[in-house]
Amino acid sequence: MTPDDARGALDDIRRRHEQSRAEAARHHSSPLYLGILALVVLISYASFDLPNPWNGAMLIPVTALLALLACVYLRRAPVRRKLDSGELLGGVAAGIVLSAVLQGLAEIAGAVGLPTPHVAAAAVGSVVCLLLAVPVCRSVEALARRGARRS
Amino acid sequence: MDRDFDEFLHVPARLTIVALLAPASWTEFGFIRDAVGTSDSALSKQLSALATADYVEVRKLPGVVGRRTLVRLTPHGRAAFQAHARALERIASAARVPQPADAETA
Repeated sequence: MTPDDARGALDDIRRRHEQSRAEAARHHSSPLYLGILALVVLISYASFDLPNPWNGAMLIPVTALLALLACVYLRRAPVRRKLDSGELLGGVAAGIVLSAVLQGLAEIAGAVGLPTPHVAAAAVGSVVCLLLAVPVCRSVEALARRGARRS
Repeated sequence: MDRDFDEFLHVPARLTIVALLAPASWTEFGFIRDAVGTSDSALSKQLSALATADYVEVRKLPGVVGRRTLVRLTPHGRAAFQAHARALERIASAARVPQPADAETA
């Protein structure tokens, strides 16, 4: 085993790592998965416009059902990865930002005089999520790859 | 040779399989086969050898469209792979470090 052989083997290991990560990322940013997530945002948030006592009542059952579908989809991934702490924190932060943005949009829609401000905010939010999801996933993946190469 | 260097693992087909499995918790048989570019039988043979050595665990699950075969590294396999990769790093870096013999001849 020469140093050149060892370097070649290490390069192959890195390439195979990236192949696995790329497959996991491709599955997570597929249109079906992103569509399910956008539907979770749309239906759960739009339900706040339902009349009482149904105001927001769809939040838990619909979110639970669609989250279950998302879990099934993730379990069918060709490459299953556990999220690391950075990815989990990023997900929580994205959820908080999304809630704040939706609330802001709903207040603007209400101020403008739309009869269903939450539906309008949820529709805008879902479309924005769909548009941003793929570039955000790619950037996170690129950052993770850079971090893995440095370590 | 470095004491962590694993001759069994260093067979190219096995090292490729283990390197694909390392970043994942479970990986599908079909993905490994396509990524390596091998046949079902050749991959099964390598996986059997790795499973016999307790480097990987193979699980067959019933699916909607036929059975799914999933593979993952065992803790022993993961530790052996990490040790082997460290051994390769040391061997590769040995060429960059000037040896005492080189300094004397220079």
